[in-house]
Amino acid sequence: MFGINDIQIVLGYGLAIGFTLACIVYGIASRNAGDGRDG
Amino acid sequence: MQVMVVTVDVVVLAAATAVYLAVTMLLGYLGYRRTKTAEDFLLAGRDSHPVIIALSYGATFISTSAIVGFGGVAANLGMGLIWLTVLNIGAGVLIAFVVFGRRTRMIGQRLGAVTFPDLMGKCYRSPFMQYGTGVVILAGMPLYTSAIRIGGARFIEATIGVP
Repeated sequence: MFGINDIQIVLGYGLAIGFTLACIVYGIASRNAGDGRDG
Repeated sequence: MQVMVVTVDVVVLAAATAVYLAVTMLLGYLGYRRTKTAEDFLLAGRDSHPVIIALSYGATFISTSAIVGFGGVAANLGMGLIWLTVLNIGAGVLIAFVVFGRRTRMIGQRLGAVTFPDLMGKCYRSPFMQYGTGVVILAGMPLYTSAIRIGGARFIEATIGVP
């Protein structure tokens, strides 16, 4: 896939991109969490 | 082994550097105008936009160790190095922020802590913790930054041919 033959490398890329998206979603969902202004 | 030498136009490099310095000075002046308290100076008033924080974190973390060092390690050992990225983003960022993010912000805001040693000292009510973490940073930072400087110098040496 994408010229990469080793499935472990493809899996690594997939997880890295997946975790990055998870970071963005979590960051948007919990922006300013723990801030006194929003309780 | 054949080595490919890539040269950079010095005029373009100088122009890009001048633009970079001008923009940096302009942003510094704008920041100076808006800075009233120590919290404004050290934490941007605790009100930084997430995109700014993300860019700042990226610029801090992705140094020559990541660009030059990891590139070299990947060239030597292969693309399995991608798993470093997986663990870094997955464990080092995502899990760390999910577990510690909210609490750290809450405690830091309540105690009025503006730096990590300040947070440690106020959280544990211990000057030893404050000075101890400060000394660890003071001792470790020159070691880290000197490696970064060497990496940067090697990069310039290889790119524009300055020995």
